[in-house]
Amino acid sequence: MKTTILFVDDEVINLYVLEKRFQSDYNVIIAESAEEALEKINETKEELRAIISDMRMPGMDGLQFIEKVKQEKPDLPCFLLTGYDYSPKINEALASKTIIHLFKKPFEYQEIYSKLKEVI
Amino acid sequence: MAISGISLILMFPLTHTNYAKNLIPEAYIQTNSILSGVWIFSIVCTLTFLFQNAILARNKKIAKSMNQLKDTTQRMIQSEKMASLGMLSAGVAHEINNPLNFIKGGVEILENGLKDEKALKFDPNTSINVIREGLNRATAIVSSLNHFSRSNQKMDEKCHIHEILNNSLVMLQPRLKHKIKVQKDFDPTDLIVIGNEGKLHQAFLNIISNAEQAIPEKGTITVKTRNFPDKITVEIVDDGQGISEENLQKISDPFFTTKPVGKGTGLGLSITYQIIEDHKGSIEVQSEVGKGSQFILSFAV
Repeated sequence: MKTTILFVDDEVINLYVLEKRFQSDYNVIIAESAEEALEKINETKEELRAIISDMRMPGMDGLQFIEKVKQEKPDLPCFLLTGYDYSPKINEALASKTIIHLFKKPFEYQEIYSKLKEVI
Repeated sequence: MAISGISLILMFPLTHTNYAKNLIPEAYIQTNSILSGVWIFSIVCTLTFLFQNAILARNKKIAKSMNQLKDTTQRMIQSEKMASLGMLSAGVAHEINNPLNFIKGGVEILENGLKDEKALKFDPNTSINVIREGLNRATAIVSSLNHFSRSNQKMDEKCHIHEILNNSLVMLQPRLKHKIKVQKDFDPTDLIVIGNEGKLHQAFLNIISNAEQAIPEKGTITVKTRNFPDKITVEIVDDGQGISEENLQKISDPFFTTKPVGKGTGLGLSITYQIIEDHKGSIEVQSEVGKGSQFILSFAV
């Protein structure tokens, strides 16, 4: 049985690539927004093992989303993707271990792969 | 000052013929009326010659100052462009990183697919499309940047208004998306203004950028173009906070800004006015506090 991971990004093509790249090793759930991701987390019966979310999205941003999920699942490993946003909020989240790692776009898929292997 | 002083003194005899006559003794005029006429004529000629020389010298000085002023204005326009490029670059970098990611991802999927035959269950064409989309987007961003940063002073380029508006919107995309709904209402004909493409990019970008900054949360920017027999119009309308009547009179003044330090130089609109004027155009602004602003640019054709 594959472990379940969740990708959140408003860029559909990024989602497509991530899904294709990781689907042979993981059960991949994708969502185009934080709001959709929250719904999918509630719906899924499998145990979610990791979240990788983009930072800049319409509506809730990646960090707000992760903080919200962590209220219910404090131990869930979460990662953030970002193109250029290095706000102090992200550094604080890294320091407080709210997020484990920050992937900077354009990221190495291998890097995501190995970071995931470390935590799952 | 010295020249102007002399010319004032010299002007008197020209306007007061009696005074000019006083230069020649009364008796002399009466006895030698023809000779006195020649005298007056030669005095007038000498004075005119001196006067003309003074005017020419001053005109030269004015021309030199005008050239210096033109030079400074050009340099100011260029500096303002560089300042806004700086402010845009972070967003543009982000916008280029996304398509780069597509390309990287597409290549990886293809590589993995080629390594492992089982993985070829997916359609390689989709990966190629992903890569192509990445290339197209990155190319579009870089080309709009290129148009913008061009710094020639030529005023005889064919400027395609719709292309310039689209490029400006691409460059502002990082700030617009998630926040602004952009409504394009373009005239079906290809609208062309003769002038400088780089500068028109700068002008349009300034106005659209201001419209975005005038909208605090979420809003709409409408970009409308129309083709009339005698003019081309470009309308940029936002539903942001608007400009007060008092500020409306000052928006074209250099260094006038209501934005916080670091957000605006106060040069954007004054330079935009200058650029549009150089293109035989005019700007009309209508605004209402709390409702939004409307910038109508008209170019004579």
